[in-house]
Amino acid sequence: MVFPFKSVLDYEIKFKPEHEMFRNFVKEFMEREVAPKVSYIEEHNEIPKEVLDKVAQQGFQGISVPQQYGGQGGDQMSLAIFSEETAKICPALVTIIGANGLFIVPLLLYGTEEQKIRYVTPVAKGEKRSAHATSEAVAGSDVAGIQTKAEKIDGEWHISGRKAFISGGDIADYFVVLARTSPVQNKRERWKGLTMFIVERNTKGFTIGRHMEKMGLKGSHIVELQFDDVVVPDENRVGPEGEGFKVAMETYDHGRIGVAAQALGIAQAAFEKSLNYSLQRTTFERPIIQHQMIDAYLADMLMKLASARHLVYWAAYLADLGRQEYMLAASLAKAYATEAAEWLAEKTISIFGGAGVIVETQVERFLRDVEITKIYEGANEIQRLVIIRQLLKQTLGVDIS
Amino acid sequence: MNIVTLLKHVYDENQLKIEPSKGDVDFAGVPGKISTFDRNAIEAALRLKQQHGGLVTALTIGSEESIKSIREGLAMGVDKAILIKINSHLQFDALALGNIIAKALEKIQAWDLLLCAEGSTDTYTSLLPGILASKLKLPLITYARSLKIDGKYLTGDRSLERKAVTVQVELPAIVSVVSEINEPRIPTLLQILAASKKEVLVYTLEDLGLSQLEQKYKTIQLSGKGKERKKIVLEGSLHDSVARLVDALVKEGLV
Repeated sequence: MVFPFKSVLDYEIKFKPEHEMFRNFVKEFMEREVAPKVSYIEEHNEIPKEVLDKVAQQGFQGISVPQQYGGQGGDQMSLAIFSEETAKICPALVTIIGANGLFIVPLLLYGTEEQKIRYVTPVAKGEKRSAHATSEAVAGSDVAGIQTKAEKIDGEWHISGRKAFISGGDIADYFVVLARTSPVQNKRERWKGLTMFIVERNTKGFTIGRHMEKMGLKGSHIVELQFDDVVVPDENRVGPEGEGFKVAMETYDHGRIGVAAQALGIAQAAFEKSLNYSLQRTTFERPIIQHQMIDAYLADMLMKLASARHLVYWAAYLADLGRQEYMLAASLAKAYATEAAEWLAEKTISIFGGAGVIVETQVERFLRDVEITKIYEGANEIQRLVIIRQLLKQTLGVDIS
Repeated sequence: MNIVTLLKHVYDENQLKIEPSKGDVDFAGVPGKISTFDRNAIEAALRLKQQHGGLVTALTIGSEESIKSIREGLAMGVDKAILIKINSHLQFDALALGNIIAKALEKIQAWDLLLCAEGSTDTYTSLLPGILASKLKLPLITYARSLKIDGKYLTGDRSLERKAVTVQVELPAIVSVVSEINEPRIPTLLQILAASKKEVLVYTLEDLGLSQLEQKYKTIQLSGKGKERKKIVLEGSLHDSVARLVDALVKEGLV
């Protein structure tokens, strides 16, 4: 046994030649279609529509969606590869694509066949866009604390409330919305009584509220959503009534690897930029790579980068094998990769010195972009709780949640 | 319209290491990749197929490693591939390769057009299209930057150094394309995954009745050539610097 796993074989990661080919083509796509627009995106806080359309046409909204629902039939490994390679150029794009994933996953896990055909297929094909609405001003990590309510009247659901920090809400056609459908019975079971619904953009009483300005991920927008007695039929319910918490949690388990890979891409870009600069920049009459302090930074960067990469792809591989331990691995990967990426981003600025805080150098952006990865899809503090809970469940069969 | 494209698996030139003092090229551990401009030839073939129907077949001479590049072609949309297995293409000169390809083309039942790149990114001799045209006694268009098929005629714009020439030939014909002809498509993941299920026929030289191949020339040495950059930095006001930049460029004979 290699605690907390059964054997050293549990740490294996296997790639296929298709993964490498996909990586090279994603890289080429991003360098060709997105890289030339990065300065524009940063300056205008907007990804040009033609870029988003090309991304959608390339099938990137449906990477891990089965072919029968218009997807590419890829695995979690492919999704992680996409996130990493895209984040190297434009992390905001990963978030925009990720928002679609957070809509698609709950439907694939709990949706009816009709819901999958009607809503997953057009999103996976890139014909429509979608978003996931759980967070509120009063409840982020505390999902069970949401205030948005839905009431069943004559077989239809009436939703009222407000959502906040909704990524991609500005451009989405479809949303999944989590609402409380029955009051909290007792404190230990506050997670019960939540239900998830599909809401279409043009539904009466549903308005897209103000954009919330943020520090990083320029080009990806977060908005508020307002629900004033929004009526949806019972067919729009995703999963059983009152089980929405479970639906949401399982969705985030899947999304975690994508965020870890997004951070990995930022870290990789930061490292490559740091190494290049260290070879070219001269101080005290020698390239700064000949200064020991810089070497220590670079070596530590590579250690963290390599560790993060192994965790991310290990988690993806376990998920593809259908092993429950992937949840532990995904939380390790998410917390570690995002914090490693933050460290690399900060040290990149140190290596660049004064030039590192100049916007034009495109180095300070790494730090601005990476911060949210520590927070969304389960804040890193929550990941640490998941890690220990999963560890105990996996090794001792004890559930302390 | 059945089209054959030539596809070569080459060393990734960006990953070659050159020993600084002697200039020796170190091929050890250098990964292979599809010869860059072959993707333009494939793209041209796929666009013609879209207009005129038919099948696109990729033909490769190389080691088993070449399958990696062949799969890229198949992911782009090539229907099937033929690999003629040899140990290393570097040991053959263009004439020898031409002999093999000419023999292999006899194996392909019927084809109307052979498309290849203006050169491969490893040896870049650009000799093969001419050799094949002469061996097969077929018309040849080299350096094509556009192609149009009308019935049994093929019209191509040739991109030459100081001029462009439009020529028309009768099919079947051989064409080499320049990279300006198109922007190669990037396959989707779905296409990449589907490519692993497409057919790759593998032949040996013996299968083609070619056990012995006469080499007309031998590569004795391969070495890298360094180029020192002038690294001229112009300082001072923008106005003065521009004038001095123009002077410097004129002096170097660049403008």
